[in-house]
Amino acid sequence: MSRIEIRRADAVETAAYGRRRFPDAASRALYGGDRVYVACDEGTPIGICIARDTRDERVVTELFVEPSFGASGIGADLLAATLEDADDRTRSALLPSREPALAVLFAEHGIAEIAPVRRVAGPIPKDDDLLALAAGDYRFGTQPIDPDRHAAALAQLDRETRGGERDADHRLLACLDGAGLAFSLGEELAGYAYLHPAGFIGPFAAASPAYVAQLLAFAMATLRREYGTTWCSTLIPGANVRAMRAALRAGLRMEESYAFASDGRLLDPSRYLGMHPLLF
Amino acid sequence: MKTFVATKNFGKLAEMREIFAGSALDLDTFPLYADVDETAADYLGNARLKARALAAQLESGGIVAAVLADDSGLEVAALGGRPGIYSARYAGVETSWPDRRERLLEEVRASGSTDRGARFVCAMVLLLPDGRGLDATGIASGRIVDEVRGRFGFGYDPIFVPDGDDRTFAQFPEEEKNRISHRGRAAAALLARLRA
Repeated sequence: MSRIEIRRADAVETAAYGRRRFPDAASRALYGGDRVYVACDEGTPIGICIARDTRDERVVTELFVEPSFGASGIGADLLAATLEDADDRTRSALLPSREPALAVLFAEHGIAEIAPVRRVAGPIPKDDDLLALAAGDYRFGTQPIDPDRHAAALAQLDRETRGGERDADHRLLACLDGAGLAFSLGEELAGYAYLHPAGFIGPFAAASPAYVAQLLAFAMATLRREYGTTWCSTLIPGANVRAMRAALRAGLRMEESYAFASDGRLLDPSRYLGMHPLLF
Repeated sequence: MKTFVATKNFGKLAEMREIFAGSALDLDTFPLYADVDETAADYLGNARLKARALAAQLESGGIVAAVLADDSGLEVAALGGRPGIYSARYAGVETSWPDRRERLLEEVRASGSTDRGARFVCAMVLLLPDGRGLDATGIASGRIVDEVRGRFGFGYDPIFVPDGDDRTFAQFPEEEKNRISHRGRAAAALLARLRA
């Protein structure tokens, strides 16, 4: 294994890996981070690990080693390099349940599974069905997220739900296609949701679990109306039973299972939805 | 026109926004941009490397936007034009800017040369979504001074005095500096080409 070199990767290499890993542009737009390490076998990249930093959290979004080089310690070396200098940030990752070896590897670095997460996906219901879902006690106002004006309220919601501020994620989401919606009740921010024309809903956070079903229905309706999107997906923590119930009522199906692993806490998953395995 | 700047440095983004204020370019950084190795032999080559890297990243993600990148350096006559393209890495990438400035002044003093002439050079590249690429170079000539002066600016600004003035770049108000700085001049030339 002495021929394996672990080193920082630049934007060109990262983009090249993204093209190999994901066929869709929406996923590739999320591919990259503040710390990207590649493992090279005599100059040929055979593994990559990516982490993205927010103010409070270092999220490992990708750890991939070519299968023919599996079980050789390359993943562990990549992960160790990527986690270095995390300072006092919480370290976390979303781990696919079909790869139990990943959970073991992350646990060895103190990043343990703390919450199940399911990806749900399916056709967006017709307007009448969505109206029934969106019917409720609350009359929310909506407006585009303004990263500056809403910064304090977004940070507060992120601290309450994810356990830390996500300034970098909001900056990234503002660069992507789609919309960021801020929901208000009177003068208060009741929640936010990002919508991507490829059908991704999230990150999504609500000030109360009671708002979740209505806001999720509103998000689906907006996707259909604004972008003509007919299909959607989101990541629902197991504790967010209201979102799961609403999603299943809307006809979405449970697909891949994940575990959110962290050396911190997912503070209130009952009010939170993630967007994509690369941006939970 | 949405334009991503190939940098992770918010200070540089702020300066670029100031310089390009009122133009058609709406500047932002792309948070996932990763720096590239600056392996080219000149400023323009390095600026192109950065621009192409970010453009490849955006294109891979299906993001349609322009890309702006620059590379700049300080050329000191007493040092035979060094540090030049290595300015940001002079004395090592881990070296702090105060230490790097001091090291440069020490080397100038040790050179025995009385020539304090110096110039800042900036090459700027704009890649447009339609595939066109524009570039421009800006130069600010002047001299270096033996002592650090001024609160504003970064890099070598506190030891560089432009021709026709007695203040270091770090003593200039931002707006005034941007009119005569190497980066400001490169931007002006680039915008003229964009309008042409």
